[in-house]
Amino acid sequence: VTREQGLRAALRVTAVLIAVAAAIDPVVTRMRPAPQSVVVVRLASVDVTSVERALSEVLPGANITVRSPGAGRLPCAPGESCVAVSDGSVDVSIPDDLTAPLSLIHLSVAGGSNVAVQSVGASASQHAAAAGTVRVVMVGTGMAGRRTELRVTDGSATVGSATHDWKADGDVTLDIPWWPLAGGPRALRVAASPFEGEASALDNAVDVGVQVSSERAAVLVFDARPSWASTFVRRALEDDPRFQVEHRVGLGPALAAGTAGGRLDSRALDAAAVTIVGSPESLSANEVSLLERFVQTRGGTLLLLPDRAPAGPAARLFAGRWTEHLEATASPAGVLQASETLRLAAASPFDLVLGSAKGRPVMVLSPSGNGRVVVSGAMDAWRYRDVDGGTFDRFWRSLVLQSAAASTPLTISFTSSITRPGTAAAFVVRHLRMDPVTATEVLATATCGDHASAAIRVWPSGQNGVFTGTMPVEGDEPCRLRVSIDGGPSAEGGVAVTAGMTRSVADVRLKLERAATRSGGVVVNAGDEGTVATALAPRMSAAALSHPVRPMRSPWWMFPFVTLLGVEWWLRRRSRLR
Amino acid sequence: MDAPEPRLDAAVDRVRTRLRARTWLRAVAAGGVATTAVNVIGMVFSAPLPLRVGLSIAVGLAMAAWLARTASRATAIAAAAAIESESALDNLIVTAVELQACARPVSNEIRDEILRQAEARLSRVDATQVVPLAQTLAMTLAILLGTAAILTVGSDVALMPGDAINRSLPASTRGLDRITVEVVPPSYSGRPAETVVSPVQITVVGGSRIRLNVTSAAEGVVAEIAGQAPLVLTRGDGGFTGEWLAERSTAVAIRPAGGAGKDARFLSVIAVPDAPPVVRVPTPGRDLAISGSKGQIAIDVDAQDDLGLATLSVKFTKASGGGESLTFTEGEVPLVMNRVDGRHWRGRAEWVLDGLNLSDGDVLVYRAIARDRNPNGSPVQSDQFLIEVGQLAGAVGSGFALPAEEKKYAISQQMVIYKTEQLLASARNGLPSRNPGAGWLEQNQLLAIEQRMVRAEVVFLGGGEVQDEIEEAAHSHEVAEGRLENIGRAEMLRAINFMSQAEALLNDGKTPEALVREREALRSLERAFDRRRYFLRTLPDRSRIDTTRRLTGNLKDARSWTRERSGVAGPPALEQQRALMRDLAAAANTGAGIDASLAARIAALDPAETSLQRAAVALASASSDQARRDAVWHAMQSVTSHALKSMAGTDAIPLMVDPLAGRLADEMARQGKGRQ
Repeated sequence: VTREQGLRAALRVTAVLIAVAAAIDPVVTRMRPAPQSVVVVRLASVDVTSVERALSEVLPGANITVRSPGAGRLPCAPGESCVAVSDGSVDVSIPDDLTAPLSLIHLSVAGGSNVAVQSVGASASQHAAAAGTVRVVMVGTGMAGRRTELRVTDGSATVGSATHDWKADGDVTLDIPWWPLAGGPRALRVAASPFEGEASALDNAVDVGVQVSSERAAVLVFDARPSWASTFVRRALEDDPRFQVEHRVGLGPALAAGTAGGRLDSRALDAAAVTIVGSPESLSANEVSLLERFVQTRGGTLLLLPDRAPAGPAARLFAGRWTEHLEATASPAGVLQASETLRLAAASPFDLVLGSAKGRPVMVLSPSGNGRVVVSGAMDAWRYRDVDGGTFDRFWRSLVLQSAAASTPLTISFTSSITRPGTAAAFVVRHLRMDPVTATEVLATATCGDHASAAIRVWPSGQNGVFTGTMPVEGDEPCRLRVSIDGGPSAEGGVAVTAGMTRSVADVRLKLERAATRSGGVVVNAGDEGTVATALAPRMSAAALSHPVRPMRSPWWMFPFVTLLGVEWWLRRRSRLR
Repeated sequence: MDAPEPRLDAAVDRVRTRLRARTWLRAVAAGGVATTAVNVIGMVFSAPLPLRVGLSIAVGLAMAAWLARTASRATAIAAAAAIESESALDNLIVTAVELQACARPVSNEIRDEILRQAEARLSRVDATQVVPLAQTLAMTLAILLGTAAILTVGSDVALMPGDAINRSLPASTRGLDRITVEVVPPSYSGRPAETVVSPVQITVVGGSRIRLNVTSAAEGVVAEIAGQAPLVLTRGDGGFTGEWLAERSTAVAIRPAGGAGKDARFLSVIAVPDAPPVVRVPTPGRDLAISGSKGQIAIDVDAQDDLGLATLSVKFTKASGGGESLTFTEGEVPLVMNRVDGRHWRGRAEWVLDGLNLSDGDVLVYRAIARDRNPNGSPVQSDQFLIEVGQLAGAVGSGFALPAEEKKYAISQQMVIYKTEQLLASARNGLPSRNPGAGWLEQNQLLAIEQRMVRAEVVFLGGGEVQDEIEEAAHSHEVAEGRLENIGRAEMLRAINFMSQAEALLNDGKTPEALVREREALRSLERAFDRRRYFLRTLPDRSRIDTTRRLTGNLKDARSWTRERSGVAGPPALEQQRALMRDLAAAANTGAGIDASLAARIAALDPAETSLQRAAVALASASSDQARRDAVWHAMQSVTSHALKSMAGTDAIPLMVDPLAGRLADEMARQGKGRQ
């Protein structure tokens, strides 16, 4: 074998080997670092290009994708490293399947004068024939000497307004009265008027939802013997269309006066949201037991209006030690005036003191079981009811109304009373009775605008009489939920729906901060993007991907294959072989 | 040689005359233009007619005079130049006139030749062609005629603000050309009738007659008056007319029959009711006590009324005797009147008591009574003041008592307090008491009797009997709210209540506690007496028993007393406000529907509420988009304020609703850890 022959054979074998390898098409697996992919979510109404550029600089080589929120949801898939850039003006829902850390970059408001509506509080339900109140907390910066006008609007209609003259920077709380234009769920917008040169107008408005209804709060007034205290409270309530008052006064051993539904029995207490008892020291032991069950099991509100220090079986309804004090002249007892007062020695941490006299609690709300007991120690406040421009009537109406909201036998409460189209509204149905039952049939139907009604599945929550559910929100019309229990008592609730729902900047920021912290991400201000990169680095370096490689599929193999065969052919031709 | 000169002069003089005439005509025309211009400016700014016309003519005359002074510039040379400019005369005329006007070193031959040729050329010149006057004269006459027409025809026209405002509402003026409102105040007001053209708002005296005169090409015109049936205007020669009596404020939408809201005009009528007179007695201005039955008391009376007073007098009541034999005599004190003007009168009396046959213990009560010119008005009386006659009159304190039956001795609430204090002091210091033989309880009971006597007298003075003091006290707020008309009565009832408590405590021997109640009673009495004199009311119309109604009732109608409930906004009123607010919101969105009809609905919510009227007028007067937007927003704010006034409100009282808190509290209490 000559050297040339050997060379030709080698060339030919090599070419054959290439062909065989190509036919086999072997697979080789290689491990390599995963590409650095970061999703930047724009949650701002201003330009965030500078933040994106800064992230690109601190995350060299990272694949940065910019997304905007769709359908009010944070566009962040499971496993994705997301960085939300927020100025608080865009509210989104946080997905439950967020597994990777979410980082948050705050865009701060430019310096200069600014007014911001920090929070808006309103009762979730409002009677159609009465005025409501929204409590607005507003923060001003560089506002001294300026005037801010606040408007409460329902659609385009201005249903309330107030002005505030700033004397110094800081936060102020304003109560703005408003009146409902129609029944059902209403979306109210509270907006502070912007002014020339304001640093940011994004934080000037907040939306809030209110359920307007004509339901009257059921109140039972029971006097074991005639009592001026309860009589004048009852009169204050009877004059108001928001209350349905039943009453009964014991006039003698077998003599009573009042309305047909004014009996102190389980049936009447089942229907009543609030029970007012005058001269409680005259209650019998059985009546006291009934009232205890009304509070602790039924979840009602019991309002005690004593004429003297607690005595008799009713003494156990009074939490704590109450002592009687007499004075020659009337003095303030909370917002009321009284000269004869019962004062509580010491309030417990659970008690809510509604009024004090001489530094001691005289009006105390004490939670008990499912309900609560309110004791008014301003015993002769009724004598001074004509002073202070009707404060007496207004106080008792407000107290009873707000107590009734929490004590109505059948209530529907939504997690949020205002939402966006396409979302789901979670709700709780609470039906408490004097005698709890083990089996209950709950029928819930939801209607959104003109859409057809749909049955909603509700689930027992674990507590007797309490059920939870979720109502899908379709369209941009208000959604109403109607619930009936065992074909008997029914209630209606709802959520206001608005596409451009505006929440408080502070609330939005707090929500995003909580989500970021919960997911293990960091919260920084714009300009501190390096911290975000540092937080993301371990996750990026740890990530590696297995990469399958098929080397014989490369077309470049044709070049050596042809070259080998060509040289071998040339050598053969030079040797004059075929 | 001399013949041609007169011809030259005559020709030049004719031209000079025409030049002067043309200057004068132009001056007159310019004066007319100036007159018209000033007149129009005056009409735009609604200047009074005499001022406007006078000023216009003065300016016109001044302008004409200033321009007419240039007529003196029409010299012979100027006339010659005018002739030369009209005809090519080789400057011969000018040269000839200058040669005549001033001596020049020119030979006679040349001078004569120039004059000859000038006259020869002048034969071809026509002065009417050189200075034509017909066109100037026609123009001047036309201007003068126009000026005169504007001065006379436009004499009662005001372009602003009414017409301009309403023209600025293009949608609301369609169909109604002109609205004239004639206001005829009630005769007792003494005010003249007045006429307003195209007003948006008028203020009238309550009870005025309002007459509408509307010029329109429509088939009919209707005035929709808030709170009344629509007023259909009747057609007459001068347009449509209609009238109504404006007893209260209202809003009116005037529209052509069948016309839409955009064709309507808005009129807000503010009716100011006649206020009752205010009368007071500045001198002596307090109660008096005199020891004798004779004397003279000076009384000054002051009365004022918004429109005019009719009568002012001082009347008195004499109370003589006591108990069941109490007699009353009424009379009048003569006044010397000083009428400052028709609306403000002062009176003075020197009241001689000698002829009144007063005796010890008698009481005189006097008050001033005024009446205004309103025939439907009621007489108004001042505070009543008391004159007590007798040696013991000075013993009467703030608490008031009439003499007892057995002896004329005044026991006042102050005296009860004094005696109680004395009793306490004697017990404290061990001093002898007023009734040495009586025990502590007995002395207290004697004081209780005196307290009861004072209480009985106060009840008597209150004009009625108190059957249940607790019930009366419980209803004292109704008294204060005006249901019983007398705000002092509430304090009186409280005083009676305190007196009863004091009496009960004295009967139990609880003297210190009784003293507290006695003082409270005295304070209530002082407040009652400060506010209004209520005893011996002489105009008790509301409490007078109508004997003609006796035995005329139906037994079936008899029923238990039910408490009258205070009203809140009823559903119709609330729905009206809501509908209006929805329309305002729609108007704010689209800008449509902002017209007189909408303004009238705003004003009609409460014609007596100023903010609503102002909002309605602003809406009806808005002329630009921005103004309309602002007006709509202010209207919404006014409607909201109005609605909130009539609705029950709620104070924010934060209450905890967490059921877990209740269970935890119960458990802690069960373990004895609830309250530390």
